[in-house]
Amino acid sequence: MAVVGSYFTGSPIMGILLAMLVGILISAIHSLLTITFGAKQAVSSMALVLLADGLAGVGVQAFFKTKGTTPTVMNLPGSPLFAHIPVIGNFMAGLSPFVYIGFGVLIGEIFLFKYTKFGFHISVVGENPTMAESAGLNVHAIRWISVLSSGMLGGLGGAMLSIGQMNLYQDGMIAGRGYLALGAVSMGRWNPLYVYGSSMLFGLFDALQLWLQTIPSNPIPAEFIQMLPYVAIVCILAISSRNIKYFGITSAGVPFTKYVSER
Amino acid sequence: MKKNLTGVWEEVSLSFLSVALSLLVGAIIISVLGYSPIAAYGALLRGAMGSPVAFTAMIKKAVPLILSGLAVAVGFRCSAFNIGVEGQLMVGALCAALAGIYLSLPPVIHLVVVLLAGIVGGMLFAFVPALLKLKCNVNVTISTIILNYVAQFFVQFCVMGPFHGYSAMEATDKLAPSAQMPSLLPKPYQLNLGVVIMILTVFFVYYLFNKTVQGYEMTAVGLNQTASQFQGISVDKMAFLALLISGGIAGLSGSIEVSGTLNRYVNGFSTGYGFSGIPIALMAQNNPFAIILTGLFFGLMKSGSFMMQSTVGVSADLVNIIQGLVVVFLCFENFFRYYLAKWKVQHV
Repeated sequence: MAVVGSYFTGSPIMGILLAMLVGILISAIHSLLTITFGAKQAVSSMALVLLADGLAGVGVQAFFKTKGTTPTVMNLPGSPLFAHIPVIGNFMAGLSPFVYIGFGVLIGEIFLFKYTKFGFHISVVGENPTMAESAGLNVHAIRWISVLSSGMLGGLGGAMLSIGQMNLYQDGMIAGRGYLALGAVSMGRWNPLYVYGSSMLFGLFDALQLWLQTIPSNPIPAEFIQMLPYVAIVCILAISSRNIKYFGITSAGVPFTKYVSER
Repeated sequence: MKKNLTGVWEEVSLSFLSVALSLLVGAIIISVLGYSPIAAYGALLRGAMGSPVAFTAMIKKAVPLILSGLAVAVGFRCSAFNIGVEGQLMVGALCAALAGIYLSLPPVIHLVVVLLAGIVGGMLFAFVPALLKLKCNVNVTISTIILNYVAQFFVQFCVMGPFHGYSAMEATDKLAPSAQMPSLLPKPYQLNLGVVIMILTVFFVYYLFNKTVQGYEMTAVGLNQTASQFQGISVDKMAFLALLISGGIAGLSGSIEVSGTLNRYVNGFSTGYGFSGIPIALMAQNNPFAIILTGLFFGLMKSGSFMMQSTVGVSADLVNIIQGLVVVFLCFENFFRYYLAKWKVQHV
């Protein structure tokens, strides 16, 4: 969606904002279904993936009259804001602004969960909604806010791919990154800092894969190199999931609503 | 676990309600895009069942979808969310194609061997996440999703590399004639033996879940893991078994497509059959007989969508939107049920 925004407004910033807005809208459907009506999370999210995939395909055709790929739009290749810093200025300016946004989100999340009351409330609702409610918290409101912000960040991630790294949207360009994030979260044990670390590790393998492909007369077939990040993640998950007694957030995905409890 | 008749009617009407609502929203989207919804849905229907030939083509298209739905349903019943049906289907199809090309056996036996090779291929690829779950406690949903990409690259390597055929297509050679599935009807009609195998598989899944101990235990695990553990059911073992069966059915689906429709392995032949299996199973509430109906519905959408795109101009991706919407509306079930129950209390 970021591409649409960037295309029509000519401004990548508007594109990012639009991407975040659409992310929020889609996650709002998810919130309504799972939090308010207690539908199964896996089911609802699968449906929304299917829906979003279709919307992206139809949207590309409706907005640009092309199939599969959009025309190129204004993108955000670097961060000229940092160019004046001595020594490392050039390096910092060469990085996509999304790198800094990602880092900012990390700091924000650590701060949220460590130092604010609201972050603590989110954790309580995740661990034990009944207790949270008896302590006077509005479980539904807190869950809604959490899911909406996660949708917003998801939209931001999509914008990174389309107008951060490239300057267009292509069918299949997401290549399961949202799912990989699930792996990163489970590997990072639901801790923002560790999750950031595991995502960096995934990124490392992706970069390694791209670098390996550029080596001339490489004896390894290209398909096996492209497979590398995915195989690496499965292996890492196999090692890191072993012997864990802690399965994550106790009440994640457990419905807490009158529509289910009275059945 | 038999439901009374009113319960069944409730389920059926919920499904129909969801389909109707999503077609309605789909129609709104079509009109927003500036096309006539009636023309678009008309083209969709004509493309899928405008002529007897198109009708048989539609059923043929539904066969792999129904089998994928069954594969997904077997996993879902046991709470093993196997999203890797797509990958298992591709690996199974490749194994079937290789058995069809490189073995020379008498006619009937060859076909059986090809189908068995597909089943074994799918099972082997499902074995990886099943083992990871059993030994390393890796979340099945995550591992199966990621392994789809591994399968995609692996199969691509095999087809483009060691097993590439003589033609310029991204495909293997043709299967030996003895390995190709015979047609049930004369030439312009497109029905083959795959339909019969599909129906047999439906009965197999029904039998598994309703008449066998393992099936019963799997369902129990799906309903309540803790309770089944206390009853002495090995939760891990059942999930393992369900994943293997699921992978086997996925592989069968791929091998029918290879030996019945394509007669060779074509790279990228599966346009998301495995992924479509997920909403198909969900819509049918994992009931094997209902999966035939929902699979046919999806087959209708899939085979009609090209006609819709070429004559009316609405993107074939619209079908994905409608499929997604169906499941979204199904998620409202708790909401509907709540008010239905309330209404019953007040009025009955």
